[in-house]
Amino acid sequence: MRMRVLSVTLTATIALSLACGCQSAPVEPVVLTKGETGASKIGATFPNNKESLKFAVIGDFGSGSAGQYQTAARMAETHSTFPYEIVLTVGDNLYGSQRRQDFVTKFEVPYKPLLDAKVKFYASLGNHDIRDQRNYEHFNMGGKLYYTFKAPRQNVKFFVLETTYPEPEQIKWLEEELKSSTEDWKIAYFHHPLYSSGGRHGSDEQLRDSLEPLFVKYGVSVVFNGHDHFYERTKPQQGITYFVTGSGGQLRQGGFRPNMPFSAKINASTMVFFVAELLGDKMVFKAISREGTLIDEGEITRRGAPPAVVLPAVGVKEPAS
Amino acid sequence: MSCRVNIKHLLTPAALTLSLIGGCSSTKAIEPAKPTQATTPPPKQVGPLPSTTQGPPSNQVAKEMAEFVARVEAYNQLREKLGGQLPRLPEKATAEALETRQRALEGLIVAARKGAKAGDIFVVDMQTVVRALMVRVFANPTQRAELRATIAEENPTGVKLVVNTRYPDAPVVTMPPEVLKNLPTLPKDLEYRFVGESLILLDTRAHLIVDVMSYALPKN
Repeated sequence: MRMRVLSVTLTATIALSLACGCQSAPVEPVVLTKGETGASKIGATFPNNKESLKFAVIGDFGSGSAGQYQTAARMAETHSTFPYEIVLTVGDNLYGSQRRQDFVTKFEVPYKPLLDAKVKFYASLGNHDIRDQRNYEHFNMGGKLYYTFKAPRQNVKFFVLETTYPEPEQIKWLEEELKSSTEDWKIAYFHHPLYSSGGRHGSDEQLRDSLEPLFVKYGVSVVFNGHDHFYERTKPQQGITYFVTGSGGQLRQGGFRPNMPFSAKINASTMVFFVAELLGDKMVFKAISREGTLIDEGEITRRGAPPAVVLPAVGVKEPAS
Repeated sequence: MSCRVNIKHLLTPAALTLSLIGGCSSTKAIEPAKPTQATTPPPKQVGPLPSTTQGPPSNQVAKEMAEFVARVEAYNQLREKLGGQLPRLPEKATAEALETRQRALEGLIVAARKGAKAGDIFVVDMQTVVRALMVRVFANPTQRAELRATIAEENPTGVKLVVNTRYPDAPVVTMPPEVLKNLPTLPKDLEYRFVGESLILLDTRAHLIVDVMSYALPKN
């Protein structure tokens, strides 16, 4: 764990140097002892740059279960040292009845520490969500089922879709929005996964046929989805990394088909939330369990970023001119 | 909230559908028939259609589509009128405000449509058109399997569907784009959804079942 944390720290430091061309202050590596709940310590392994965009992602969470509450507590703990400003939700924000008291027990109570810290949630809707959620004050949807918004920092635009009712009108709107977007980072999120190893749902290939060509054409770098109740990261698919972050409050243990060719990492043994720090052309991310342990981590360079400068190795003689 | 509807735009998918069903090449915009009173007889127990049905003639389809669109629009106008009696919902409402308004709108619509029953909007002849459409959409065996899988996902089977009552606390089925493309476009906040093998009209603002059509999916 020490070597892994150290290597992540070094990677982040190098990434920052490349992105901003400046020397960043070294981040002290953090050691987690076995079994330790280290959600706040994991937060400290990020670069934690003041100018970066820090965000979290959760999906399929509004069950009101003990698991949801535990995961939410880990999110708050992480926030204490990694103060992300926004949370993206990939749908199924509430399960079952959605009366006023359900919004309280399935959302306002578990995420109260984050709401009190003025963290803004930007929701997308899943097949369990009533449409009225688009007007709910804490979901910041502006009364719309699908919308875009610019991140509070960095050059990022989020494209938020509604995929239980994929009308031609929405696809047309999406293309226009993508075409007109000038942001370096385009990140899309919605409920149904385009790539998923899920045994219950799996990849939505019909939706993929509609959306993937647009994402590829217009430079989307990352896509977040839910619906399948586990965590998964794909290998880049035509340059785009897909995440399934559908275990924020629900879990289908072992509910996946192993060894799918597109899959890079899966965890279906615990509930998971996702956090990321985006600075310049790089996004450093971690997936954290409800127990506070590190499930996945990595770094993504945005599509269309200029190639990294490769410096000659020390000690190599340049040919005589 | 105003709701302006371009009838010609609504009928565009229907015009395309006519070409598919009747084999006709006309894509002229179709003028809607005048709205009629809901005096259609109760739907017959038609049951599932055979999978090889050819469907009604194209001019009949056009007529049924136009009248269906008009009935849907009549419902929409009623909803707008009743919704206008309530305070406007802000873009950022509390959960309490959301529920209060939804329940109030539900109450007004239920009272105004007292006696509404299955088949008032999905009249018998329109049901025939929809079933023929579904046969066409589900014709390709590979696509059929995918469509069935999508519709089966978290489909709330076993739910008792009663027109003019609240949609249950259950998920909605994801609608395949191929199905939506072939059905007339609905006004905002009205949606088609499958429940079991039935197709319903769902008012997502009032959370009401507006109408129900049984045996919507082809038998195969």
